[in-house]
Amino acid sequence: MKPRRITILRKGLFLLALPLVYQALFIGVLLKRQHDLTEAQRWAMHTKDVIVKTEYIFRLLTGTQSDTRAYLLTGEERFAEDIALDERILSEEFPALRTMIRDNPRQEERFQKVLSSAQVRLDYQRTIMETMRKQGRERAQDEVKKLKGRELTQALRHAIEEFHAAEEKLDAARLEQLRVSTIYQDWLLVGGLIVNVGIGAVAAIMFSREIAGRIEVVTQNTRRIANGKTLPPLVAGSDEIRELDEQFHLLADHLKSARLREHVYQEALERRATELTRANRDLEQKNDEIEMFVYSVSHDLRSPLVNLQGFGRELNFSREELQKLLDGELSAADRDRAREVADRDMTESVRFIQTAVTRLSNIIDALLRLSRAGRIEYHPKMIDLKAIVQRIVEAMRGTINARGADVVIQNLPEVWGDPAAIEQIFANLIGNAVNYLDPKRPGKVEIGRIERAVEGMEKPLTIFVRDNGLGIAPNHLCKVFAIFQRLHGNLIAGEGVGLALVRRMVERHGGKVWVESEEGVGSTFFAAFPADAQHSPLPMVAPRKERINVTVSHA
Amino acid sequence: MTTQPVTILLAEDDDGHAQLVQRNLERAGLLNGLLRVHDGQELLDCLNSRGSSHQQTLDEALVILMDINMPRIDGVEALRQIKANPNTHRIPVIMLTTTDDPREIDRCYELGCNVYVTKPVEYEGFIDAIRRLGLFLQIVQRPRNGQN
Repeated sequence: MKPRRITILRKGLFLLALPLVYQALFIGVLLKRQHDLTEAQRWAMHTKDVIVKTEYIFRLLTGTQSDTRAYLLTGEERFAEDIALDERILSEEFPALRTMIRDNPRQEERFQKVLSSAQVRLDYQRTIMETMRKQGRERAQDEVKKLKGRELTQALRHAIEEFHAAEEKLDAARLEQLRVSTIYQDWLLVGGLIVNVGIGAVAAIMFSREIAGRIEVVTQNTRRIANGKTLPPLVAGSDEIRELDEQFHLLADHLKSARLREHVYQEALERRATELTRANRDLEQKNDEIEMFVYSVSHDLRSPLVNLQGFGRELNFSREELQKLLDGELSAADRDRAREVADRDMTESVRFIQTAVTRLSNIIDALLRLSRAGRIEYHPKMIDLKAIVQRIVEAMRGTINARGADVVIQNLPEVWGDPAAIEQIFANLIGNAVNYLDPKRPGKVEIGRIERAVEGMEKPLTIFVRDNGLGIAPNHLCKVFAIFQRLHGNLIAGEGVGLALVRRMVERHGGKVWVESEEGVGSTFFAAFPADAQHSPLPMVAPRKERINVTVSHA
Repeated sequence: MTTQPVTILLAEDDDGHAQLVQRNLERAGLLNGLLRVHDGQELLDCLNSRGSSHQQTLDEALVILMDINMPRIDGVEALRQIKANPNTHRIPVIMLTTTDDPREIDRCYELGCNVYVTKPVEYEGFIDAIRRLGLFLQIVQRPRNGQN
């Protein structure tokens, strides 16, 4: 099962809820405070009411005191009625006040004191009134002279003042409390506001860190992917942003491997393109060679054909002439002419026709040889080149001696190749060197090995055949390896196919052949062969036993 | 009728072809002095040796018949050198060849060859060209030996 995740939704809700919850709590606290404040105000008002009431009662009671005196002095009933006010105060005002202070037991105690004092004084006044009505003013005045009424009033006043003072104190306390509450409320509002701002800031920071910041990282990651840069470690957390980042990391990995693959393909492609270009160049060169070859062959075939056709016509002319001569009477001059035609013209024509046929036949043979050189199966092996060259030179000894030439064979390496082909290659090169020596100076032919860098070959074995012969003109250097190019005219018998064969055979060995020459000084022919069997295109046909050994050693 | 000795200089490596040219020139009645060389080098050497003698160059009219494919110096190169040399560039040149490759023909005309003849197909054409060239040069034909 998937672990429970903290999703962006949850985070968002939390971030939204945080200030809302706080604000709700704050408003609750604020309401409570408001309520308390109202209560305090109410209590303050109440205390004021109590004080007013107390003062009112006190004034009334003070009033009844003087009424009693007035009644005593005048005896008028009008004042006696006023005294009844005390009773009303006791029966009406006091209970009202009492209900007002019911919440305060201590004040109630004091009130009780006031009440009892008032009761005692009322009783006393009633007694005086009674005395006055029944025993007369004298008795009543005596009674009053005892100053008991005064004491009672004093006691009452004292009680009321005490009560009043307590209430004033309470009032002051409550006012103070109200003031403190108001200040407290103000601070609460300011504090609450600050905390609210703080929570907002915290929410903003949390949003920035938990969501905006991480989204920014992911966004930068997409840019990094686009620019092919490596990604930093995954963003923390387990929400969608993390998942998104994981996906982007996966994507980046895929892209990276794709780029790697692409790079590999690209390299392979470039390698192939290079190979193709080279192959193309080789093919173009081969094509040019073939074109040149066809041109040469057609020309060389046409040349004897011209003779065949030409001397065929000549024979016809001769025949017509002879016929004309034979048709008439044969004079001595005619006879001589006829003999001339038959002996000279016709013999010559027949000779040229025969030569042309031989030449055509030789050309066709040469073509067949060249074709065979390209098709014949090679049996390559390591060959002692020196032994082969020595054998070739020995075979040519007659010609060499006839020309008075000096042939030097240096140390020669072993070469991987077909023995017959290698022998043919060097027989041709040495043969050419000997045949095209300059008769004007003592000939010298040298065969040896030389270190030369050859394009497209690794550590080639380069063999040279150097002579001090006629040499080749610069404008003919490029033609020497083309077929039927005979640079030295009919000096030496041949079809001009030797060097073309040499080139064909060397190339089949994976090698190259070229010439450096100076007319009148001599030529050097070079043949470069692959260093060993591994670099040779010729297949290694190893004996069966050896092949098994190789397999075993690999196993 | 002015008589002007004209020498035909034939450069041809193939003996058979040289023989055919000679026989056909004779048969056409162009019995001028014919001098044969075997390749381009020999032709140029021959012209140079003639050039060294002013008398001969002025007196003697020359026409060159030349094969393209020759050893050492080929016909095209020889033609170029002849036409580049102020001593020889006026000599008319007829190119003889077995090829009818238009590029080769164009090149020869560019180099200043007067007539281009392909052998052996245009065998009559070849003779005709020699003949017309003879007229053009106002060569006075000498009667053939043994004929009246």
